Amino acid sequence: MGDFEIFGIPVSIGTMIYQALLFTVLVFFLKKYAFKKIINIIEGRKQHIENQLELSEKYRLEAEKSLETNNEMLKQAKRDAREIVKEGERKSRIIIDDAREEAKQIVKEAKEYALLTRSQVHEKKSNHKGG
Amino acid sequence: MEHARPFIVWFGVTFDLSIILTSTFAALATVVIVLLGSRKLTISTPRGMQNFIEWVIEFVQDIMQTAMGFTDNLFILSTGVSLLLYLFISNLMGIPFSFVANNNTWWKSPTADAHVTMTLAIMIMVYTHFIDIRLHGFKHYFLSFFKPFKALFVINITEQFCTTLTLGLRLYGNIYAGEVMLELLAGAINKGIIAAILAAFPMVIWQAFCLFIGAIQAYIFVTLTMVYIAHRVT
Repeated sequence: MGDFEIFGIPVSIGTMIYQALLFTVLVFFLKKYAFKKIINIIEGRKQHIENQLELSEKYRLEAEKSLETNNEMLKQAKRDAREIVKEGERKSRIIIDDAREEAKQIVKEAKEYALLTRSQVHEKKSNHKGG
Repeated sequence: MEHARPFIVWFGVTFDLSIILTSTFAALATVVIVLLGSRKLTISTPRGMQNFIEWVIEFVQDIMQTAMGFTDNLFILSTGVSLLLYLFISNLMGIPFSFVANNNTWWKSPTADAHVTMTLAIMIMVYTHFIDIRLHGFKHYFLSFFKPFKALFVINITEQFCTTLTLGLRLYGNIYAGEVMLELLAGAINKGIIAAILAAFPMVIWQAFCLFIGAIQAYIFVTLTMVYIAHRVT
């Protein structure tokens, strides 16, 4: 049974009209109440991820730069420390040398004094003997 | 073998009640699935149904991208996603069982009826003609039937009818044939216990194959829709 026949095939036009209406309503309903929102969410996520990637790239560059300055600073500090140690060693050697010199001087003076004192004692003794 | 259909006449035109029942069910199922997927939308990691719906949308966007090179037309995208889900559900509806009462078929795949598939095919072809007129004007549309030269006018007209017919009948034929086969296998239950046992194994295999065909045919229908629209848009 059908409204008319095409090459002997019965066609029920009401079914087709209903089908067309149903599918049209389906598409417009889903478009309005679901797909618009979902597409917005997907686009938003894409944007969000892009922003995050950009941000992370920026932070990476900043981190690289700060690492470079840190390395430079570290190198400078090591150089300074080496210089300070060298300077300290030089100064300490000078001080030690001075001290050694001074000590020698003191010893020398002490020996001389001792010699002097001894000869004086000797002289007194001999004077005493003779008297 | 062939059962009658529950026809009814309203306002001088006939309606097939079984198709109205099954196609309305398929449409409602599509709406429920999509609304479940868009209920609690989150911009961070999508979960559950939202993940599924986004996957389907991106799948259709991929088809659109390969066919026409853009995906920002919301109407075409909505049509594609609705078609894919609606047809897939429709194709699966006849696989688990069919329901016959008083020699009238009430429950089977709506796509196993040429009315449904031909209506969708005609709607899509009408839309492709409509979008061509809207984008390029009526003159360009009219002249496109005489390209590359005038003698091809008849062939161009025939082509439009043929694409409509093949688009609709391909889907109908695949699903209808699958259901006929299922019905034959299920009919073995009346032929004694040995025949029923022998038919059970091919029945399960054929159901799995029908699932596969249902998915493939829904995909093909959407892809061809996109290709036909792309012909007119670009």
